Amino acid sequence: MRIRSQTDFWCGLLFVAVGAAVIVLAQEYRFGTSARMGPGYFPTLLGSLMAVLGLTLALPALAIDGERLPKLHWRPLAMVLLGIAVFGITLEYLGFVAAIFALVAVAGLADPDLKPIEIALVALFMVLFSTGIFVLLLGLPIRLWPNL
Amino acid sequence: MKLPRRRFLHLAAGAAALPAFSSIVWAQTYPARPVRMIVPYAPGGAADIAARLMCQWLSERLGQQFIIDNRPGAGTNIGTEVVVRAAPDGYTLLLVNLANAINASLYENLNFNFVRDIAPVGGMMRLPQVMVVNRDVPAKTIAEFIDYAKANPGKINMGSSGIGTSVHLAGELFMAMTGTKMTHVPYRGTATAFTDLIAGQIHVMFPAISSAIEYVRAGTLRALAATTAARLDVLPDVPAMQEAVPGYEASAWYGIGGPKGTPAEIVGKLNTEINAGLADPKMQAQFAKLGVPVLSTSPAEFGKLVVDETEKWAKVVKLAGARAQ
Amino acid sequence: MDIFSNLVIGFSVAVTLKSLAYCFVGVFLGTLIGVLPGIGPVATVAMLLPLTFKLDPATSMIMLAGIYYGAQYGGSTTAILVNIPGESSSVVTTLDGYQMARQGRAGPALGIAAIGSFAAGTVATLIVALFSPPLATIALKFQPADYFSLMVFGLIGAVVLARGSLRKAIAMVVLGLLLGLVGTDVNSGVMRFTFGAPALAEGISFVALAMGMFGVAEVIYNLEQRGQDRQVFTSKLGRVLPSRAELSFSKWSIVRGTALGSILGILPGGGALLASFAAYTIEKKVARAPRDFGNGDIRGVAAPESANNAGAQTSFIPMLTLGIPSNPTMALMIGALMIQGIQPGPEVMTQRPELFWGIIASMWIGNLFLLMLNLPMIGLWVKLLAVPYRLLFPAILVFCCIGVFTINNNVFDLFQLVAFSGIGYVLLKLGCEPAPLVLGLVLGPMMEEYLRRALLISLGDPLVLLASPISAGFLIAAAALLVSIAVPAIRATREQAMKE
Repeated sequence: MRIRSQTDFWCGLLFVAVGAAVIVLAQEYRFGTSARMGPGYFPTLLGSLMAVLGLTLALPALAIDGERLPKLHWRPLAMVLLGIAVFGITLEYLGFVAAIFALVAVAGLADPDLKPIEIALVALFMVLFSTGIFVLLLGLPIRLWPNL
Repeated sequence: MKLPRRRFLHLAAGAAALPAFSSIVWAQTYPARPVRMIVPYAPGGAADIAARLMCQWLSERLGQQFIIDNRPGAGTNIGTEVVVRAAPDGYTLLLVNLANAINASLYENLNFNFVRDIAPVGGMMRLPQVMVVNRDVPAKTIAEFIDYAKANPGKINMGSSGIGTSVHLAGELFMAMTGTKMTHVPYRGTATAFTDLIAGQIHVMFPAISSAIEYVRAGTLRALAATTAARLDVLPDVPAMQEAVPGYEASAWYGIGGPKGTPAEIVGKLNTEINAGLADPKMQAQFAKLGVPVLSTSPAEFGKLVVDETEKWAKVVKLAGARAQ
Repeated sequence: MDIFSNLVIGFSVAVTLKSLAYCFVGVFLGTLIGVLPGIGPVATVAMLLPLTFKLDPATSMIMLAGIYYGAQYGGSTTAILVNIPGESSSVVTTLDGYQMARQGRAGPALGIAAIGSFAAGTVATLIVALFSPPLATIALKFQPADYFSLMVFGLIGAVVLARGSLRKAIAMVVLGLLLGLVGTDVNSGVMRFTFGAPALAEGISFVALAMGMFGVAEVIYNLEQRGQDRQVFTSKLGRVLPSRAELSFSKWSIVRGTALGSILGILPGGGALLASFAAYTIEKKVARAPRDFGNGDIRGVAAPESANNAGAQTSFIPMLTLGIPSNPTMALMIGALMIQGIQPGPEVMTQRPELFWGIIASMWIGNLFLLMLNLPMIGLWVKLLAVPYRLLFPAILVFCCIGVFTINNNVFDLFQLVAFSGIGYVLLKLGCEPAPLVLGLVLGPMMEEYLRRALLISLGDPLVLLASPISAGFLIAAAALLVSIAVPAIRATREQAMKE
């Protein structure tokens, strides 16, 4: 058997998986009755709906021609996500200024055209600009530097 | 993975600081940098505003900024945990309130023990609650309401701002002590609950006086009782619940605490300033506008209040069968 | 008919140097925080609260109200320029607004948003002045069952937000509903799908999800194009203001958006949330030649922006007349009044007419300020797009991170941003559009909450949904909308199948 619309097929299977996972997890909560719904009622209902929708997407994909699976570009994806995560961790331990430098430096790797000097300048500009607006003007309770 | 590392950092911070200063010197120079007060609620509401008033007072008196840091979520548990894990140096404080005492029994698996992990600094204010009914409810007194509720078991809808909130538990306490049975209808906060109470979808609620008083004054809702031991200054004609249900008392309260191990000198210094603020006529006038009586205590008295309330509400939580994971 | 004498009282309060100054400060700050993604009016109003302790009630309300509707105004700017919706209302603006910006029409998009908002604000202010008390009773007429049916109607409309596959759009709505389940169940207190993370107890961070799926996913998507395709925005900047033809093209959209927003804004139980979504849906169904929607149709910016601003104004009605806050910012304003010794409620209008009418008069002045402030700014914003993308994208990411963090001051929300950026990118690649998902996330929890509350109050009788005429009306409308969406889609599928 040949999958004729790859995008729809895998997309549909993903939805079926999500729906099934929700149904399984929702068994932990009381289901109740239609008149007095428990916390498990809606999740089970929605999970089933999700799974059915996934099937209506995946099954016709076997018969009707469609798009091939799109290519994922790992470099921008990984670097941007990593940059945000590093921002969070740095902010917790080293403060706002270091976090902005870390974010710009890591996320900057997502774009090979960006030169190191440009990264440094953008980071410096963002530190000055956002400290001015968020900390000085709006007075948000943000820690600028590491404690001690 | 997250916990041990944080704890390690705090230990390191403590170890580095301890030999250099004795705690007395600490207290003399305190506060040497801005102090954060964690408010475990979203901004708005009487408690947040009272905390802002107090922070402004402390900033003026102690010459350092006292900054409000709102950390809402999980019925105050998120903000509380931030303070539990903070260094006990007096630079991170918590707006302590009744929800902390209730949560000790409402939540099964908290990462902290409130009474053990938070050092009391001092009380700030009480927030009395009031039993209000929709205008079309025939009962005009508490006794009439109890009869009415007994005649219509389960048919009276009692609103609340959510499961396990002080508004909910004040109602549960009422049901338990009067032997009545009402249907509990929880809402997300009191705002939408008031809409339904005025429109008659729900019939009774036990909200904080500050949020209910204008409806009572305008006659949109009828107050049957104050939940406090004595009548309230702002509603002198409304009886205290005690007059009809002996022994009933339910009112929220707010105070300030810090992480366990906060030096006693710093706690003392803060307590003195807080109480000076609560005695200041201007501050009192502003608290009065919010409709809340001040609660001036020593650290030990406030600690005892927290312990007593934790025990009291544990019983009500059990009665109500409320539980949260 | 003493509306004129009332308005005279109002303007005599609002047109003093002091009031004007604070009104300007309010709308200026509001615009600023609206433009900055994430940090919303709630945080700003909270920050300024101590300042109002020293002001008189009217002045402080004029300033705080200015922040509130100024933020609604500014939110559209980032949505149009860089595809980042700072709050739920600007999600819809990204759909056509960002496409317009990519085609070099950022100026007209921003212009029509400002003009539409001003027109809507003016009309809505008049509505507040003329009809507040009777309209307030509408707010009380809406019962839990009615809200549930309104949400159902909104959810079916959500499908229309997407331009691609219908089945995927429906799946996205359901996925949004599923994500909306995360958090504490109001009716039972049980925490669902939180996996032991207390930070999820209040549910998924809406801002983290919206910024991740729209803003950051779009950044990643743009970064994968290299060389020639890389120019995200056309180099020619085009005109700065909408042309006369564009204005007349979108005038009925502004009218419809204003009407819809004004009505939904009155409902304190979440109506205003729906305003911009509903306006877009209806526009797409009603307007002539709707096939341009989603590809930079100026009406797709005009209608939701008007609806949004109209709703922001009329959501003052329940607060001013009943003392019921429609949203967290309003709750804060009530707090600001309380500290002044005023309890907002039915008596404010009769006992403090200068306050009530002063606020209303200042709303219109504030809208005028916003127009004067925003139109000249457009040229500047448009020039910003000329900055090379390799320098722009790190700045966009920094603003997203700060915005997400400052909502709750919680680092955990940044990890949510990471997760939703990744999910958003994958969904984008699979041809699934995030707009219906966002609406599902916003409406889902409310829908469940209202349904279960309706059943609790009616002691489990499902007929309560049909017993109320409002609820029955919405359900019929929802069914009609469903048919109007499904029939063309089914026909199209059949035609395709026949061809094969």
